[in-house]
Amino acid sequence: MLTPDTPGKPILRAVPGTGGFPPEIDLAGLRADLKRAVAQTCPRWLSDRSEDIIQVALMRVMEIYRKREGNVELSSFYLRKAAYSAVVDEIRRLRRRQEVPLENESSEIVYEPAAESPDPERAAVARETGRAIQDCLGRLVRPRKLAVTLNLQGHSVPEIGKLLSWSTKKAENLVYRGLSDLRGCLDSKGVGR
Amino acid sequence: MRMDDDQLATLRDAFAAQPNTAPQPEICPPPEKIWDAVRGELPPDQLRETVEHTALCASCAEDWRLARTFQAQETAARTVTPTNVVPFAPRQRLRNFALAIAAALALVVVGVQWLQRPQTDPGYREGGEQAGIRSLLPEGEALPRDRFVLRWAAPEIPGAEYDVQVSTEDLQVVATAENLRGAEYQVPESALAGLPASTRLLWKVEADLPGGGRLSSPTFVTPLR
Repeated sequence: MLTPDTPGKPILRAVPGTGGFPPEIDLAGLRADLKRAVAQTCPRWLSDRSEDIIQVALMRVMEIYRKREGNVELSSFYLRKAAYSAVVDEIRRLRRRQEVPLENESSEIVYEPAAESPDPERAAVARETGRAIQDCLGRLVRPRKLAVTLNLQGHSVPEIGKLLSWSTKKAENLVYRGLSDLRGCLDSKGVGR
Repeated sequence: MRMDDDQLATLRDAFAAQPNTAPQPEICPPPEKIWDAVRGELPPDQLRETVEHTALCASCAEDWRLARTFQAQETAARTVTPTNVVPFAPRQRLRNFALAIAAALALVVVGVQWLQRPQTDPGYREGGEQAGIRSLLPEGEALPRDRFVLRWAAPEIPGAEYDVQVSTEDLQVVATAENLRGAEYQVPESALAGLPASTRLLWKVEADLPGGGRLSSPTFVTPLR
């Protein structure tokens, strides 16, 4: 059994000698958050399997609880991190075991995100552009590559500055120049217009 | 030429749409490392290495976005204010005010009990959140945009440096400040220029402790006059 810690602090104390998932944990909330995150982020072949992925992940979180019995404190933050790690491990395992690997020109194993979009042509263009972006990112000087990568991942300029310990001005400058380089590179490949 | 929002959105979609290569355990960072990187909790060189890897590894880039989405849900869950606020009728306002008073009294009682509790061995703890930092601004009081000064107290951590992040309710970052020595921060008027009056701004303080630890405040809400 777990008991809540200080009010306002989402920290729980594990009491030794008990098993099972602690009732104080908002398991349904954690499951719902994970499912939503997977649905928003992952390709459809993965999000279609999100129930299985999350079930496996939550079982691993339970295992962590069991192993930590003995007056240890676990925060909800720690649980979320553990759940995330378990989900990613499971996704990586599935990716490695994907049933229908395809071979691209460079013999690199890639996975066809089947029926990814209701508009297959548009999805194909996006994938082609994605490959080109990756190639172009590899050609950028490192600070611009870091700035643009984070920006493409959805981070705002102030967030990029904070993450990389840059001033907002510097981050803005690097994002701007990096995106300009990226645009030039894509144009040279005839992509994305 | 500056890229417009549509172009950037297209590039972001395309970046996310690139086919995933099979993850390579010997190269790909473990998920815990990606999680910490997204939170900005890795040493700078490791954080940069991780970002650089995601530039060229579609699978890890996706893992990064998953961590970001999952963490954003946590942030949103902690922010008690809904995004779409439906105006309350006067009677509802009165009832809500009474509930707020009751909640505040309950917090005082709980706080006193917490202060009086016996000290125990802290044991294992991860995250280290919500310790000690509190807002000094009267709750709900709007601040003028030319003097939007955020103040807080962290009496038990002298010598700490503070990072502040200010955002809107839809989590758009308005301003950030780093390595502040004093326990206050004035949001530049220019950063508030595009926001309408009555905008509720969320702000959060993180303290770098002299001993190397880090503390986070809860998210505070201060309206813009």
